[in-house]
Amino acid sequence: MKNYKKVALAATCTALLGGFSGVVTTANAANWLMLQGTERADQAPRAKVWGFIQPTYLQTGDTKLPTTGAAAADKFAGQDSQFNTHQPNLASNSTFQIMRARLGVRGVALPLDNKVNYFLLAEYGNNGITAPGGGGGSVKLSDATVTLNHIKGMRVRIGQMKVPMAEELYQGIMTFNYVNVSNVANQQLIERPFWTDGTTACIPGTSDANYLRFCDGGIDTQFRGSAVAVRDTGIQLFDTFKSGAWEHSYAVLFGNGGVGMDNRDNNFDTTAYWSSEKVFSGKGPWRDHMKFLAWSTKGKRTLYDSSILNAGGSLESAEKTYDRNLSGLGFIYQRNKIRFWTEYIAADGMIFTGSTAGGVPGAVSTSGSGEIAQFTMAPTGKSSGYYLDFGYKITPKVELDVRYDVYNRVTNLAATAQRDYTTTTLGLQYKFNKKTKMILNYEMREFNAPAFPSAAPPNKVAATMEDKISAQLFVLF
Amino acid sequence: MKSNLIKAFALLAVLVTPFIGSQAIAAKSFADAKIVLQISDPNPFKQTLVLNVASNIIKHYGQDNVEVEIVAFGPGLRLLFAENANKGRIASLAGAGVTFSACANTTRNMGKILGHPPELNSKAVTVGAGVVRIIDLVKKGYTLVKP
Repeated sequence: MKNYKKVALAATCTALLGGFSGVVTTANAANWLMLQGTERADQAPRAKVWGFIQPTYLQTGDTKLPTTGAAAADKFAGQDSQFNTHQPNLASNSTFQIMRARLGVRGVALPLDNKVNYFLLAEYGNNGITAPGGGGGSVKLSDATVTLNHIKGMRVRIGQMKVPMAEELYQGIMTFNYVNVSNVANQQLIERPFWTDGTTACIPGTSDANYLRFCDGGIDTQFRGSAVAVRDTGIQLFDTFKSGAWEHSYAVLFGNGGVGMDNRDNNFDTTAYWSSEKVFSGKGPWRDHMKFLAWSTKGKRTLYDSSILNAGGSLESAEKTYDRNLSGLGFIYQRNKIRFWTEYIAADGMIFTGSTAGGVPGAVSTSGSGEIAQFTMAPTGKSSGYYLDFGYKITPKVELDVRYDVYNRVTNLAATAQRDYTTTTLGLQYKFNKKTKMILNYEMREFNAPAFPSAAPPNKVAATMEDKISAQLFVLF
Repeated sequence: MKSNLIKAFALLAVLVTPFIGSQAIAAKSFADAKIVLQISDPNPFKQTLVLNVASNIIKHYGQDNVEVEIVAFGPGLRLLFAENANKGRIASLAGAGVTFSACANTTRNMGKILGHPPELNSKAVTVGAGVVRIIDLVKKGYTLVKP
């Protein structure tokens, strides 16, 4: 009897320490659709509290906007540029900030019924969700969904959730290997919901009152609401099907078109997503796998035409509806020490184009005109971008990363409107443990206006873009 | 001729089956170890833990030399629900000789909450009361472990 007890104790201890090597094993069913949208059947708690924190340091050079000799390019000469300051405040070249801090709870409302799951998450950090355009900020709900698992092959998730799309943004934050996202993700996949296109000069005392209400009160008045970190509010149908080592997943999402959005245009966004994934080993977020994915989002947005507003037109006459369509392809390979990711993304409509002459939105022109810098949009523009991302674990705790990303912005309108962004990011990750890591990044950033000679004013402005250093501590709990 | 042969085999089977069964039981009763594992906790991690412990015991002794029975009652009965995420592991362990016992009292009470009886894993055997089953097994020489 004594021996039995010793063996039983030893077996318990071994299991507790994770020493189970297994006479029986099972494949893990998780992928991002399932990990974020469902709970483990009959093994989820009533309420699991979880979250993550990302204290971050960001630094760029403090090169100011240059004097080029061209009035249009020199409106904010001598001032900080939008691209050499840090989001969301755009107030400094170097800053400590809590980039994200999320706290949530998830589980099954009634543990006996695995058919109904819920997911709730709030953002406490300093970013475009809590403080679009900077300012004081406030806690915002990022996710709130209920998933119904009653129909085999078609789970139903209702509420506010991540839009299934590019892996770079759809993945859980715990596996994101950099501090900042690629250019195409930052500029176009993360949506900035503005009231106006911001392309007409905003000059207090001169511009029409209907226009000034959106452009003269500081940088945040141009925002209709929080930046949309690839979330939507609506209903998603989805599921995953296993076939040997492969998992095939689909999702179709119908939503308003963003977090807290009011579906002002009365058109729902429609997103379709497919991924086929071969699982090599592991489980949950950290498994080794090879994935192919394709997705598409179609929707419409309304925007006030700034030229109509500034000419005295009514809000009704100035409000226009534009397409906002996005699509992408991706390939992910992750096995043992090696990681390779690549994605291509195309955008049609509602293209974010930075700010007036590169100035910090809200800044007053140094030319004496009184013009105020704004965020700008090209509502009928098209863009595309891609990235190549390599990672190599030199030890289990240390990983080296390099990402090369390209974004060609506004490729279909006047050639002079196009801007091409290229960034090479060098990264080092040190993993203290499975849930805590430090990320150091150095971004070699550049952009240019390809229709202009290198000495032309737009390219002189572009040449002032500085490299960026980022350091971040990440903890998941 | 053919039908006579079939009848003869059938008769032989009827006569021999009880003997084979008692031989198997006799072999089991001489197992090196007899362990009953209790799961009655709502903590989902305990589900994984109790299955890990069962696996480790079998791995240590070999499946022919140990008797392992997992008795689930109270909130722990969720382990034996038909769609439990661990059903694959449960099937493997059952194949390795592990017995899974589901408390009938708990099943009945959960049915009242759900409005219908919970569907149990096909590998589970219903016993009257989980705790009584454990007491009976301990009296028979089993060692009780509650991971």
